[in-house]
Amino acid sequence: MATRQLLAPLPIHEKRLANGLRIITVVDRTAPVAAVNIWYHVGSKDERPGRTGFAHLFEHLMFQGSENVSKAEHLSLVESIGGNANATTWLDRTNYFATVPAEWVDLILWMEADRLATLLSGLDQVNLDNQRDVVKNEKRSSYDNQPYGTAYLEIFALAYPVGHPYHHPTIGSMEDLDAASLEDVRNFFSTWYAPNNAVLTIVGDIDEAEIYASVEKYFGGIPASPTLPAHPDLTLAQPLSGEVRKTVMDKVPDPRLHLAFRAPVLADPDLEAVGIATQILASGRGSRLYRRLVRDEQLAQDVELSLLPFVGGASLIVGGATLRPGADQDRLERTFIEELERLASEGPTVVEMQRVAALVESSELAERTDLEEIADGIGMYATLLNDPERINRDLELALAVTAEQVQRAAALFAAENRVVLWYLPAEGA
Amino acid sequence: MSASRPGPGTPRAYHFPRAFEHRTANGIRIIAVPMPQRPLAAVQLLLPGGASSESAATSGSTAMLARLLTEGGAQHNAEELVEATELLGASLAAEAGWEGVVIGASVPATRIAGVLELIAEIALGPSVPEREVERGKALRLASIEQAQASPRARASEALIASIYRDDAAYGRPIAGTRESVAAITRERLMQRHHELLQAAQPILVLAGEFDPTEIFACVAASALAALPGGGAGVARANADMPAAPGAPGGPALLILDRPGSVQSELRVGRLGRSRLNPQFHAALVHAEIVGGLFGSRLNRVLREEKGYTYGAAAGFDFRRGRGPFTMRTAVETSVTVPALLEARRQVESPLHEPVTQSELDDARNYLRGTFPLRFGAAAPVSATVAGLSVIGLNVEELDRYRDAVTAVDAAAVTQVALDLSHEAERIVVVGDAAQIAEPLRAEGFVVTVKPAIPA
Repeated sequence: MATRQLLAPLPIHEKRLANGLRIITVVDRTAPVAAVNIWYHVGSKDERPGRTGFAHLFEHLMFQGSENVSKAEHLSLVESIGGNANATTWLDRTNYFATVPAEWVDLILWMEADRLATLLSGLDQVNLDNQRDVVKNEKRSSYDNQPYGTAYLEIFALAYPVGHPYHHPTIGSMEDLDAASLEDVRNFFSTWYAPNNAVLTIVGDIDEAEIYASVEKYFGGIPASPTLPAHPDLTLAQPLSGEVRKTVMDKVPDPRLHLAFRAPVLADPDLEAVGIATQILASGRGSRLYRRLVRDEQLAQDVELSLLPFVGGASLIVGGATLRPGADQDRLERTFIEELERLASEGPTVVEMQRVAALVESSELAERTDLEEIADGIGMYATLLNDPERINRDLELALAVTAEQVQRAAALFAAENRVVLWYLPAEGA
Repeated sequence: MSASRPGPGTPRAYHFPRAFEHRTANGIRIIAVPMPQRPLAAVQLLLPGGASSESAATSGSTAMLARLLTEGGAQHNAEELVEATELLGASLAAEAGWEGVVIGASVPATRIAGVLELIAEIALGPSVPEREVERGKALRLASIEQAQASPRARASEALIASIYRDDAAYGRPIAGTRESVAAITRERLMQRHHELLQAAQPILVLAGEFDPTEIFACVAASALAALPGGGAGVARANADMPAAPGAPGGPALLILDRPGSVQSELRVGRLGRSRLNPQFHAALVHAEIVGGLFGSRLNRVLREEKGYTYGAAAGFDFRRGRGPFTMRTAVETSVTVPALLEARRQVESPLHEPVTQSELDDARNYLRGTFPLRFGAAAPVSATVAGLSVIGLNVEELDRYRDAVTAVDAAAVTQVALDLSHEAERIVVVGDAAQIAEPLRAEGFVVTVKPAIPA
């Protein structure tokens, strides 16, 4: 791709407390706000058998009070100072984040420190039972009671073998959620929630010297864990070795095709070209799959293909298309896969590479105006790649991808690396 | 660990970015909002005259026209248009609202001129190919089927329909119904396009890192300068006429039966208020306290105390006319009755338990504090300015927002709740009728059961 004028690098500064907590700061004075983001290197891959869904349930309990913050006060306190906060759990990690008027950053740092230092003092059976009910309703709302809502759960179970840490879903199973005990909560907290397993990133209208002083004051006394365990082995012994197929009969209005392919891990330089390939195939109405499946041959109502990066074993490319009423199911699958394989055999055109370069650049501009995204990106790279500065090379790396690399990446779409999952309307549903 | 909570540091000033206005020779209103360090700019062309003026028979034609605008114009067919847009690093989309059609783009500020040409092309002379009309109709009909199968979408749509009279536009999905979409023709869409260009003064809003004077010159030199400057104005239909009150007796409740559902989707609604109501800011504070904040009365009780749900929310949808007020939650089937009773109690609670000083402070601080967070990027700035402008409000409305929120007191919030209580209450539940109908009847609800997916 052509050389262009790239973005000015973010001024990233980093310190580490004696207890191992990494603190990363970026000053950005475009608005009087600040984003505080903390990544803990623990996710659903670290769950024990029989306790699936636990990392996420635990995330909920982090909002249920600690020594100096009462039950359910955390989010209300953030709202009462004019801010927003939330948290998410995923296979490799858990992140907690808040965006607030800049003059309130200290309060957020104090609250994060309070729950890291003293969470267990706020914990009781009533809170655990309440949040277990909330999480079970989250599972019902977001998965079980939604058309196609369980497809993601199926995809992971098919793409990773039984026993692999990515095989089971982050939301967990109802049985395992029911089995979670106070003892589990205590063990999980003392095993994983330690300053030497966290990255704290603060971006916005801040004074860095004041931030470092505050972090030292609030977090400095929290001891490091001397026994931080290794994460489970994510190595995949076997390739998929042949197309994996499944059909699910469910309460859905139209048949829907889901596809998945294993891909290189986050640290692998080849992953960049995979991301570009998915954009050429399915990003926007000019993409190959949209043009062919939705517009020209009118086989599908919608189409998607995207990359989910993971740190070990394999990342996942996931895709899908809902059958247009009256269209032929086999032809949809055949044509979808034909387009994927055509990229492997013919590669992208010069114009496609130019378009994707312009789009990548715009999306990078958009991310640079979002403090939360900057903080989260830095937290991710620091936690998972030990390289916070990587965010400053994202655009350069994406623009450096060649048409040949995209073509080579498309080899991942081969049948032996493919999961095919159909959701079909059940009779009488 | 220190037990004493840190207080705030020195607050920093915040002002909504300043807007500059200009009128072109032919009468287009341009509002330019310079935002330093925002290299990704946003452009919105708003053609007044939206779905609120549609009848039941023409419902969805404005949305369909909007969808087809990006299928090409005089110089570019659909694929060429996408290619030209993406080569600018831009994205281009058109959408119908109740008050107008918006053609919007996000584009690096240095390439605004290029995107203005594309916007002008599809605004002035969209090609609306016959084949794409048929494809658009088929996709909209399929998405109606999809929405019927989704408990969330089905419940919301049925609630909205129950609040308004059959001939009121607000009671229908903005993209039209099965019958009205099936009746759409190319001629009808071209007529709609003609009406839009003739209706009223178009508004062009731009935000991002640029010099407003240069932007005005750039627009004047673009093909947009050929856009008609506006005619007689938009005819206003009674988009917000409420449905007749229900028969006396217990509260009426519609169950949309979805056998085997593991949850019940609960909706309670009433006719809400107009964005132009002078007590707008009081209604915002009311909604945060009742069902907006995480610590709102609804969420605190239904989620954090009872564990009935992943979340419960309520609020107004503000439009030129009176949009709906709705309460939304999904609960495990076995707690449908207590959860519904509790949700209704919390929505009405400001009438019996006046809001406390700390609730008031939290809601006002939240609205004030998060205001700057909403406007970090150019796109929400231009969208908000365009949305206010089309209903006759000025950008100054945003400058006074934080002071107006601060001025809301407990009495004003109670008044909002009181006004709301005078409107008819509507209740919809999507769930397993075999499990929930009898318990709801036993509680005194006048229950009607219909299939969630019509035969």
